[in-house]
Amino acid sequence: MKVLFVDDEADIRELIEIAIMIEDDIEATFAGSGSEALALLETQVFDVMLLDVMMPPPDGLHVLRAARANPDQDTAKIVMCTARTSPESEAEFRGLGADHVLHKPFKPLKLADYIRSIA
Amino acid sequence: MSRPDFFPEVERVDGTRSKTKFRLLTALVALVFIFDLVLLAVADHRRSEARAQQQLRHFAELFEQSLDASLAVANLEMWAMIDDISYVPLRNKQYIEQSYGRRMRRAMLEIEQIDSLVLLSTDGTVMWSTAEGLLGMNLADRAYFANAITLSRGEYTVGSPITSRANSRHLTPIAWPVISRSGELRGVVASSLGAEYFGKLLSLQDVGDDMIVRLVTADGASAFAIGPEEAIDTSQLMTATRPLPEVGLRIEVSRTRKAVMRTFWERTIIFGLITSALSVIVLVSVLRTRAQSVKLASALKQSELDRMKIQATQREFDAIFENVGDGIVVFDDLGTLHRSNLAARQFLNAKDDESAVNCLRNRLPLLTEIPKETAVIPLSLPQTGCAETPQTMQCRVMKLQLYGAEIAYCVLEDISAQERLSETRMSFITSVNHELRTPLTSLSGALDLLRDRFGAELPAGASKLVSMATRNADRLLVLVNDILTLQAIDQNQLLISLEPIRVSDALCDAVQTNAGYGLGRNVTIAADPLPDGEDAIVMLDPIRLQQILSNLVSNAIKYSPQGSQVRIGAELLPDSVRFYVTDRGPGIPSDALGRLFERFGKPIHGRDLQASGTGLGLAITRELVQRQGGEISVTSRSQFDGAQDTGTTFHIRFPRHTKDTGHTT
Repeated sequence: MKVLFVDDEADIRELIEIAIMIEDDIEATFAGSGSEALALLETQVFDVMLLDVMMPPPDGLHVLRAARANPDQDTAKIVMCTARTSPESEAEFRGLGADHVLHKPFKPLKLADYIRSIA
Repeated sequence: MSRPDFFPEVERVDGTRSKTKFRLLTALVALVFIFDLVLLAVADHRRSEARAQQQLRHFAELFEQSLDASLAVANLEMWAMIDDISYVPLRNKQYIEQSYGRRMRRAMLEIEQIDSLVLLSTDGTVMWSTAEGLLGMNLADRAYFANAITLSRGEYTVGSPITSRANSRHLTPIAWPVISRSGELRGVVASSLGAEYFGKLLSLQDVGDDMIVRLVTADGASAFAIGPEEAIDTSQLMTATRPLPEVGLRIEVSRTRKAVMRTFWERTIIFGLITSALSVIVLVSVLRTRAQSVKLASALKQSELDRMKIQATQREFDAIFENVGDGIVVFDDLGTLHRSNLAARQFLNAKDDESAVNCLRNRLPLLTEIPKETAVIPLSLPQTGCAETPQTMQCRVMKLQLYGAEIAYCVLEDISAQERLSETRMSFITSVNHELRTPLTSLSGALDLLRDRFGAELPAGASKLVSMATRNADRLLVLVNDILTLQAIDQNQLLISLEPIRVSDALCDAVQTNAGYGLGRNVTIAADPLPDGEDAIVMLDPIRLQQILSNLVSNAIKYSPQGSQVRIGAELLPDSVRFYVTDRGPGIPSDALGRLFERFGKPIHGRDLQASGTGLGLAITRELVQRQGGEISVTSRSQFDGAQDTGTTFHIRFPRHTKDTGHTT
């Protein structure tokens, strides 16, 4: 299962990397910015994408739009990660094509189980 | 603010001066009055005296005239008798009786002036008398005899009064010489003027009771007197005298000064009383008038001061009205009242009051459509030249029924600044949300991973430190979450989506959610079964309700002694549901109950008892309860208050959801 993590926080990326490392069925790819993610979308196809919303432009929403505009990524489950918990923002994300919303802060240890549950 | 009085000094000085003046004037008038009264009295006294004197003289004259006339008549008749008895010398008493007895008796009866008759010979022997005892007596030593024999025809003499030896009467002797037509002296006829005679004579005149009339002989003896008998000090008498030269008598008419002046004093006293009464009346009315006028003057002055105060207040009000930051527009439904202040004219971009009112009225609903109480009407106004952002205004309108017209008082508030501020606050919160949570996520996640993956490899001390770090990271996360929740509540941005919830389900969830936490502290949680197996439905936000119950349950667990039980449950009341969470902890001191729900309040317990927390849990709980229409209360038996069976119970009451309203909402 190919999973794309996009987050501008290096610490978070590293943390997740350590947490996911031992999971054999998850092949994680990391992007540190929106543009990096956009480039990866052109070359690889992912089963699951976890996109941080708040990033310097292009932000998570931009990446989400690009992913949904890309027919190669049609099957990908897209999860938006955000600290914003309001139903309005969740509705907005879902309107743009997100499948799930993951509220920050989340526990990295439980991430693998979460990914398996939605995939 | 107390405003200083204007010119109070001047008023006081004025008042004192006018009072002094008035007193002087009153005293002067009183003095003049008294002086005039005295002057009048003195003049009246003099006049009275003169009049009395005149009256006395008049009486004296009257007496003189009547006496004169009476004596003249008696004289003539006596001389007629004398002519009858003077033909021969008087020698034989018996002859005299025979010849003249009848004549003389007749004379005595006819002449009323005389009451007795004595005929004396030239040597003074009594030849005939109406009083028998006198016969043969010699009366030559009598003064009237001596006088009488010297007189010529037609004359008579009146002697000094004597007391009669015969009958002890007070008599005034009167005597005529008996002279024959040939001029021979034959003897003397003597008689007396009796009291009866004078009494009769004087009673003809109107003699006042208090008048003393005396006939005084030449030697000063009183021949006859009528009037008050008692001896009167002559210096107190007022006397008029009239001489009767023919008979050598004088008449004295006197009255006591007291009697004369009695009427004067009566008159003076009555007059004085009346005038005094009148002047007192006048004075009183003058005083009253003055008091009234003083009052009036002070009232006028006061009203003048009030007017000035009102003016000052008006000016103050105008200054505040004009310069206050909010726009104020006042108008009525008749179109006659137009007022606006500077801010209002700027907001409405109007040059004067009238255009400001018109501009605002065009943007407001009709006056009659505005409710009576304060109405808040949002306004959007055209951007004024210098404003950078569009103006979002709101207009508070209050209608008052005044002076028979409907007057609208409008306050224009620029709420765009408020909106900007709240936007800024929101974006601040959002960024804090992100900026705080991101590192916390990393920290907490890293610690979790460390414990999970490398926990076994860590030395015992390091493992302890990692636990401590994890615990504190979690605590910090809770704190950030709590602050954000409260912020959302304060900003009215807390989302509450009401759903019907079964009370039994809510209790079950609360037990399940917190059981793990209790297990860590060796405290069990039990939900009391609902009474009679009944159940009820409340209309609440399920997440918020769990938040509330969890807050209370975790608090209860925190303070419960090891091995004890925290009980939750609900009482079903006719129209409400009352949840409770009760523990057997040390209890809350009664003096701390009041500040229990304060944010970051002073710790309730001492250092040894106080459990760690954010200090916001109960504040958030209360807000969440109140936002959902509930109320929270607490009762406690504290060991600090000396209670044995300690513990704390929190009650939360929510309105019960009835089937009817449940399906319609």
